Formats: sequence, C-alpha cells, structure tokens
Amino acid sequence: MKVAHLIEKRRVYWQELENLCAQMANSRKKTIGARNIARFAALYRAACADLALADSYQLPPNIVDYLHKLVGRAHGQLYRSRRVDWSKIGDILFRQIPREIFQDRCVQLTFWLFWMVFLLAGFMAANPDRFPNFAADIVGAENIDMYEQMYADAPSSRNNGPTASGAAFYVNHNTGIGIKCFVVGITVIGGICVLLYNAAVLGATFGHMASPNVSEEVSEHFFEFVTAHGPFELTAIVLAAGAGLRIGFSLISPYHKEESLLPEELPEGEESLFDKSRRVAYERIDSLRIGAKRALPVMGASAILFILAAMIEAWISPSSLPEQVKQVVAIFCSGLLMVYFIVLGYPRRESDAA
Amino acid sequence: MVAPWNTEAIDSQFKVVTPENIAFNYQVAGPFRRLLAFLLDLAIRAAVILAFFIVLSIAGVGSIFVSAGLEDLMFALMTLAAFFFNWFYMAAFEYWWNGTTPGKWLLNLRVTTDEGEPINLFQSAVRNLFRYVDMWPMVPLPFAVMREEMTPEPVVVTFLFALIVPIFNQRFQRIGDLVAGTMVVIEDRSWLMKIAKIEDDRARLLADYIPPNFVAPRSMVKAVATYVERRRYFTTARRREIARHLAEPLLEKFGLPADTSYDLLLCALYYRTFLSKHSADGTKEDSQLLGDLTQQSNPYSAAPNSPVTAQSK
Repeated sequence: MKVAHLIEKRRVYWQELENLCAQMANSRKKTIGARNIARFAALYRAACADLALADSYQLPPNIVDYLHKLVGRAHGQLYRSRRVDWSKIGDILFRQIPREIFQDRCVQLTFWLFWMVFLLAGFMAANPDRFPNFAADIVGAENIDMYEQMYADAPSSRNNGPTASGAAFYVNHNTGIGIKCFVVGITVIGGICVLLYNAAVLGATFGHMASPNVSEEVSEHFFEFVTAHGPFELTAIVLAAGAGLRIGFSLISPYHKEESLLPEELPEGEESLFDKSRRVAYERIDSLRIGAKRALPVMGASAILFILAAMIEAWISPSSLPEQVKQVVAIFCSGLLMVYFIVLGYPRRESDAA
Repeated sequence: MVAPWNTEAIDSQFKVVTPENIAFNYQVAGPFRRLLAFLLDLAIRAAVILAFFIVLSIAGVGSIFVSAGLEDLMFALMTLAAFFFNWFYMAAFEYWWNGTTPGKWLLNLRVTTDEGEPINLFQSAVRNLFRYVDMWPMVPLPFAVMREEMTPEPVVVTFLFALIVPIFNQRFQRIGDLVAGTMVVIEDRSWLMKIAKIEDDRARLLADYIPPNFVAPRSMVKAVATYVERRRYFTTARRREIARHLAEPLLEKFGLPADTSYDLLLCALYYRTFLSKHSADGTKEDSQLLGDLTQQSNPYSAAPNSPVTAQSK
C-alpha cells in the first residue's frame, strides 16, 4: 500500500478525533453523549496504533509529528484532572493529620523555636529598666505608638465592633502571612528567619504592652482584644512554618525513615517499559516530593486554624462581651488544640491494623 | 525512539508512555513562552479587577449596596474575593480547565504531572502557592532617596529564583513545579498536516527513471522527506547545496547524467516513495529503459544560465 493512500484513508479518522477533542475541551462530558465518548475511545486507540506503526509504515516525519501531537492532545482529554474525594476528608482531618503533626520533627522544632523566642522577647520587652529601648528596636518606635493609640479605647468601642469586612480582612491578611511563612520554608534559612522575626515582634509587642511603660488601661484593652484568638493564631503560625521547614529539610537531607514511608514510596527505582535508565531512589527531587506530601496536610490544618482565628478575631475579640467570656473562649480553644494534637495525635498501634 | 539519536535531550521532548502502552512525545515549554502566559494572566487579572472597580464605583452598583445598608458586606466580599483571586486564581483554573489558565490556553500550554498525567487539586494548589518564592530574592530599594515617601516594605521583587531554578533541570520546572511534581508542556491545537505536493511534472517523470528495484533505506526516506517538506523555504542555490550530498551518490548509483538537478532527483524520490501508484518494493513491470536518457539531451538538467550555477560556482 502506498503511503499517500494510507494517510488519506486514516486522515478522516484523525480529523474526527481532532474534532472530538475540541468538543470535549469546550463542553462537559455529560453533554457530549455516550456514543461520542465511545467513538472517541475507539479513535484514540486507533491513533495510538497508527503512531506505533508510523515507523514501519515509513510515514514522513511531519505526519509522525502530527500523530504525536494528536495522541498527546487526546491523551490530555481522556485522562483529565480528578475531582477531590471529599468523603475521606473526616478521616484525614481527625485521624491522619494530628498523628502526622505530633510526630513531625519540624513542627516540634518550630514550636520550641517560636515559643522560646516569643517568651524571651516578651520578657525583655516587659523589663524596660533592664533592657531599655528593646521593644522599640524590635518592633519600631512608630509601630509601638500606633499600637498604643489603637488600644487607647476599649475593643468594643473601636471601629463599631464586629463586622464582616473585618473578618474578611483578617482572613486575607493573616492567612497571607501564613502562606508566605510556609512557602518561604523551602529555603530553610528564610523560613526560620521569618518565623523568628514573627516570634520576636509578637513577643516584644506582648511584653511591651505588659511593661510599666504602658498605662494600665491600654494594656488591659490590648490583652482583652488578643486573648480570644491568640491560641489558634499562634499555633497556626507554628504549623505553617513547620510545614515549610519540612519541605526545606527534605531537600537538604534526602533521607527518610523507612517505617514512615508508604508502600508506593519505598525506594525501588521505577522502570518504565521504554526507559533503560533506572532512577536512583531518593534523588533530592523525589525526597522533595515526599516532603511536600507530608507537609501539605500540616499546612491544611494551619490554614483551617488561621481561618478560625480570623473569625474569632473579627466576631468575638472586638465585641462588647465581658472579658471573662473572651478568656473562656481562649481556654476552650487551647483545650481543643490539646485534644486535637495530643489526644488524637498520640501515636498508637491500631493505626497499623486499620 | 523514532530517531536513532537522542532528540529528546536537544528538542526538549518528553516521552510519555500511556496506559495503552504507546509512547508519544510531549514538548516541554520553555521559560519565555511561560513568561508570556504569566504576563497574560497578570493582565487578565488586572483587567478583571479594573472592571470590577468600574462597575462598583462608576456604574453606581456600589451606591446601591450602600443605600441598602450592605456596605460592610460588600467590603467583606471584596476582600475575600481579592484574597482568593490573589492566591488561588491560577490554581482554580488549572484544576477546572484541565491544567490550563486563560493565559496558558492562549499560548497552547498545559500543566501535567511529571508522567504526563493530569494534575490534581493539590498539585495545582502547591505549584501556584510557591509562586511567592519565585519572586525571591526581594531586595530593598538601594538609595535613601528612593525609599523616601514609600509605603512600608519598599522592596524590589527580582524573580531571580523563577529564572535560575528552571535552568538547572531538564524540564524547565519552577520551584513550585519541582515540589508538586508537575511540568508545563506545549499542546498545539492548530497544525498543518500535509504530504508535500510535487507540482513539477518533471519530477514525476524522473521518478520513472529511478531503478524499480531500488528501495530507499529508512534513514534516507526520512532525510528526503524532511528535505522536500521544507524546500519551499530555500532559494534555488541553497536547495542545490543541501541536496547534492544525497543526490550526487544517488545519481552515480542510478547511472543518471551528472548534470541532473539534485533538487529534482530528491523530489522524484519523494514522489516515488510516498505518492506514486507503483509499489515501492520493485514489483513494477520493468518496461522503461534507462538507455533513452543518454541519447537525448537531459531534460532534467538544471538550466546552465539559471541562478543555480551562477551562485553556487
């Protein structure tokens, strides 16, 4: 058979496949109809076969190129991005994530780093006679003035109490900071710097507000405002930084404990049918991918905490509720965190059986 | 697999083996095409925000909200919209549009996993969150004059990470791509698929003089096809120059006169391999005589006063 004849014969099918690809790209699967989908599958298989045979048919190179593109395009339509399986979300959220966080060395590291620096900065800022100008150096004099003005009035009388736009603002602002903290973690140093910076500034602000330099009233207003959403927000920062560091460290040291790996991640070296080169397991890039897989749930938990904190910050903190209620909220939130991370997260055997 | 040498390394081709056990090539997208797509997306986002602003402020939709006492809600919605637009615009499009965003779609780009499969929600989210690191390193403005009267954090976003990291891997992956295990491929939707037409009747006639039992080897067929498909881009002199390496030994082998046009011979070979009705394996009746050719003046010779001879010396 002559090549030109062969191509003329097959071209009809190729063009039909092309049209179907265009249709599938533009509309949802349901509107295309079962008949067309079946037709698409058949045509795709035929095109694959044509591509495989192209060499023995001695097709001209531009036809082979065309077939590569056609098969690639059809492949992209056949295998589309999958919908998220929301049915497992409860299991992931309440069983897997807390355990992972509890065991995660990076989260432990960021936890200690953050609270050490936070408490240290707080202590130093709260004793201005021993460390004069410490708070002003860290936070900046004008920022301190701004804070003092902000909390001159009781939280409930400021900007008309709780508002929806306030909630949106806190979601935007705080979650943005969290995402940056997470993302920068890949450059380990950068992640640690951002974390320490946040810890020092927050600690110094807290300490300064508690110091004798600030009038009784202002500090009372400040702590009344901050108490309720503090637990969630500070934990969220720690988690975000920890998740970021997990990615960064997996890049630095590509070693993973064998028992912490899933079966499909075990170093076995993939070998595809056509590729002779066997990949050495745990090149940095593979390690990075495993690290990212570990870090994502932690970041998800952090994002949820950020949003909850923003809600509390917007609706409860500036409200006219008595201060005791806000303290109760803070205690309740801390208790929830303890239950989540320690009770749910404590490593146990039955997870292996399940 | 098609070519004997490794074209994947130099053509930035990436081979995908489908579950149907067929290998096909994707072309990995280079940084500049992707930069263009990114700028397009940026422009689209700016346009949408501007349109939103115009509708709210100039078209008076905003004042309707204010008069209805929903001002607060409006601001809340705007802030949230800005938040999602800022962080998740790309990710959302890549998830719902099967790996493309408007900018990528316009430039025929698509995001796939390293194995050429579609990306999932997490991969699209991660690869786009890490755009923030791409902007690094951020450096403060250098001179005090420049820093004055600026809003807080006057920094220059250098995008050096976005430029440097793709250089060091074969698939031009950004940091986000590396973390999520994705790559960007070119997916052409418009192409021309033709067998080159041989308009010149002389080529068809010449094809009959090629010995019927001659079967061109595979690599020669490929070379001839590549040449004929692009010869329209070349001048006559250039055609002669390129074609002679293959044509000269062939002329000798076929016993054709040495002044036959090289270009014409390759066209004839192309015609015979791909287009003619006769089969290529030499089963045609051997009726034509090559001897005819030597008696008359060669009708396929390149004209002596044509630019072919004038330029190629």
